Amino acid sequence: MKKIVKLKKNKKAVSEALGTILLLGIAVAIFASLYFIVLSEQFETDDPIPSVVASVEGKYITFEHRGGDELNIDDKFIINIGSEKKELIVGDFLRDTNNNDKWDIGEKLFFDDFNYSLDISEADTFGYTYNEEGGTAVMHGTLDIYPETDIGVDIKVDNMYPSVGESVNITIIVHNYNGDINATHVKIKFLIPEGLEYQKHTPSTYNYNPISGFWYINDSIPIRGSISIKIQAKVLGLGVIREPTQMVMILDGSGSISDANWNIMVNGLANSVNNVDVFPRDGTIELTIVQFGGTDPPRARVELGGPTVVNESNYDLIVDDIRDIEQMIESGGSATPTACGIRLAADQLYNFGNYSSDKRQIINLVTDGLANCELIQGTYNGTWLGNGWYKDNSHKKSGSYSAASSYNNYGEIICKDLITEGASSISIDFDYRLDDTEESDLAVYYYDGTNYNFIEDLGVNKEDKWLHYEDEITDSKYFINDFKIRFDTNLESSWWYGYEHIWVDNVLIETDNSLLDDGFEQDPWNLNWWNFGKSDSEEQRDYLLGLLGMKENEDEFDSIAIGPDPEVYWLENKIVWPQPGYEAPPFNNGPGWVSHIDTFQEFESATSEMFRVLFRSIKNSAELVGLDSRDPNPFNDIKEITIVPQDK
Amino acid sequence: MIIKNYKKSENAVVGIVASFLIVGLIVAVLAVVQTQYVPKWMREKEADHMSQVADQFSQLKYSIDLHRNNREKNTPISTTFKLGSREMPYLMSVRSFGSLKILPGSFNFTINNQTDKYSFLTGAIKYKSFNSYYIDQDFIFEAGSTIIDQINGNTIYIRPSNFVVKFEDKLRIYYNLTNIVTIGNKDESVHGYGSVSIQTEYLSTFKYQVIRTVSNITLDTNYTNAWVNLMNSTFLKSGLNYGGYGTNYTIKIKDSLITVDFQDNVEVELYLNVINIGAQIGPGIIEY
Repeated sequence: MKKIVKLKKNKKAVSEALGTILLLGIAVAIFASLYFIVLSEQFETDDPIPSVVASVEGKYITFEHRGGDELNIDDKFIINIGSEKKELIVGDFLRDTNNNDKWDIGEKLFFDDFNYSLDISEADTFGYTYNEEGGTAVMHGTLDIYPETDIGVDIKVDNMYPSVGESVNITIIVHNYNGDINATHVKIKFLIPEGLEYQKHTPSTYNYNPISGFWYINDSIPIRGSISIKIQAKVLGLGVIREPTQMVMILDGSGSISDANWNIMVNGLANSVNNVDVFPRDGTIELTIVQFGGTDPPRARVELGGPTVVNESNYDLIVDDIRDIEQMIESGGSATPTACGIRLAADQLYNFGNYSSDKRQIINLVTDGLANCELIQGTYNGTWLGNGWYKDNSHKKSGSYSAASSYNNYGEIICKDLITEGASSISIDFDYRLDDTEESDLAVYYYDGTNYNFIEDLGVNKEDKWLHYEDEITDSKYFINDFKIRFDTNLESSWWYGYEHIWVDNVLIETDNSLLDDGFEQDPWNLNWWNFGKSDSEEQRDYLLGLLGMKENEDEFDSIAIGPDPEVYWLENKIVWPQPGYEAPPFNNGPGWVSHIDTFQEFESATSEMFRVLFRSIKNSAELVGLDSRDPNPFNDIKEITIVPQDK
Repeated sequence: MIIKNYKKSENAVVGIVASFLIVGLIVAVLAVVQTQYVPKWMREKEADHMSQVADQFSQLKYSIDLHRNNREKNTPISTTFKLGSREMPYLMSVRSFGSLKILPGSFNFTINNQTDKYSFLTGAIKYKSFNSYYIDQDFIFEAGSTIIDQINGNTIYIRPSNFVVKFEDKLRIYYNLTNIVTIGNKDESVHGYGSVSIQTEYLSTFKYQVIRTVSNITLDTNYTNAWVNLMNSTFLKSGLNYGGYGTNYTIKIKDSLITVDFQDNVEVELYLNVINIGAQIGPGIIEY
């Protein structure tokens, strides 16, 4: 008990512990205060973190700042090219687009103190930045600096239709379009094709070997320079080896073709097939003929197929069959179901012909009119949509022309896709004129991405004067990426109703931007407009290309357009293949052409010409096969010529 | 006498001094770490996050290129973005944030040829960072390109799928113009620091097979430097001349408008496809 009392009275340790805790508290408080005071200070401690990418652009090695911290103009880069070490200061090579004496995002160093050489393929690059603490590496990499040269080959013949026995001059031109160095050791291959006989080449000093077909260009071709050789050859005749071919002729049998013209057409085709000088009978050609037309319903049917391979023993029967093809015409109609014809041709060749993707496929669409039917899916029948609109100068609000619809030419016309997404309103303006129309004769529709919504019937308004239509669309369902306006006409001619006509001019569609401003003055007048007959034909053409697996360097889809009505621009840009199409003759740009003739009387000569080009022509190409440097662009390295020998 | 005894005792002083020194050392180390190293680590962390976003944008472009090539409808692809980066544990630091947004109609591409004018308004996808230590960067998928933008400029990060071929006096430009549209006008933007996915799907292609005799093209964009650099680089590489005698084209910039005028000495054909890609930000299936 005494001991306890004694301990309680001993306060020696308590005082020491208390003192320690107090002092500790003071220390913590002082350092905590210091800590927070120091914390509030921002220290400059950081090395820059930029992204720098080195590349080669033409004659420059470039270093591009691709984001992150800016760099100083006194930073250094080192480039090792071959055995040479080059040191550059950023400021000496920087294109400082914002003039702030810093190297910022998007700005480049252009280093041009080097020469391309075929002996050096790589450059080592090393970049440093400096601050008070010393240097820091910001990039290091190896660049491929092997030189490139874009060589393009062109070939021309001075007479595409020479007579047998004549000489032709074939000129091969080799361009060095662009590149790092002059092109050296360029080697071109041009074999003298079967049917031609080499005579000479000029300049004769050029190293061309007609046996091997190689032209070794000893001189270097300077950047943007060219060199050419002229090869003279004698035309011996035909005798070209043909590859197995499936050919289908898709014939328009619509009501716009009279009996007489139909007979001219089928007899012209039969005569061409019967002519051994243009159409071979060696069993290499499988011929299919499809006709489209009719009104009850508009449709397509196979006239020759099954497959029919033309040879010596059956060609005369085939010719007779062609002459006997009857036009699919019913009274009172002129439907042109082009889409049905193309669809049937595709399926016929694929399912019932001797189809192989290795064979050459040639499609030829013969038409005298406008595609005006929509394909009924799962059939080869179509729905007639009316003959469509036309360009007219009899009434126009301004300029020289307007778009017109009449009792003969009615149906829909739809503008191209307009991007109205993000807009707050769309303004629609156009002028229109009516003649003898009534209710439902001119309907306006807007497309909302899914449906064409009826907006207004304009047919009931005053006739024989220009009227103005204005609308401001604020409904957000029309703010889409494929907004369209559509005009639908349904016009008649009769003693009771009169001869109904409608004209539309100056269509202006705007959001904040002008989307469409069309006075129908340009050629073609309907560049910005289409209808379901055309769009369906394009869709079936795509189906055909896909189903038959057509290849650009082997197969083709061409067209013969007859008279003033076919839309040659549309055929050339949307139907023939490969694209871009072109008008022929001359057939000097390979496959994918439209041959436009004025009358049916020219049809036989056009088909004979076509068969000659397809089956009896001499084709050959000049091709780049050797070059010291690299060619970045292979598309222009090969070019083909066609020579169509004529009998004397 | 008692006071004298206390003065002579130094037992507690050693403990206090040792504690004092240890606390001081700890505080000093913490202060140095906090002031010297934490900002540096955080800058690097945010810079790494920016690289990660750049990679995620590359993945987005890859997905959209797949849509363009396959043209298969109703097959959405998700790309995930990490919007921000976390703060450091224990030490004092601030997390970074980011936003992802679909911008309809932010880019306008206009082509004039001898007879007509074609205008295409396209949408974009934009990531915007809200960093605390590293420079803020925006990544934009616009008209087929991926662009990086920051306060002092912008540049193309990934080029669009186009190519240019020169034939004698003719230049063919093949260009797939990608238009981003929102699906169902929903979830156009999201902001935060976690992960978020954007779903894209192929909608349609508007195919102009060729626009011939192009006289000029105009771009209306917020990233003029990036597009001008891209066009100059592309045209020069394809063999066109710029500036001086024999120039094939000129470029003018006015505010957000870039106009490229082609001279009469070059015939330009543009092969243009406009590919419409639907995009929806947020989790779940694509809803219409």
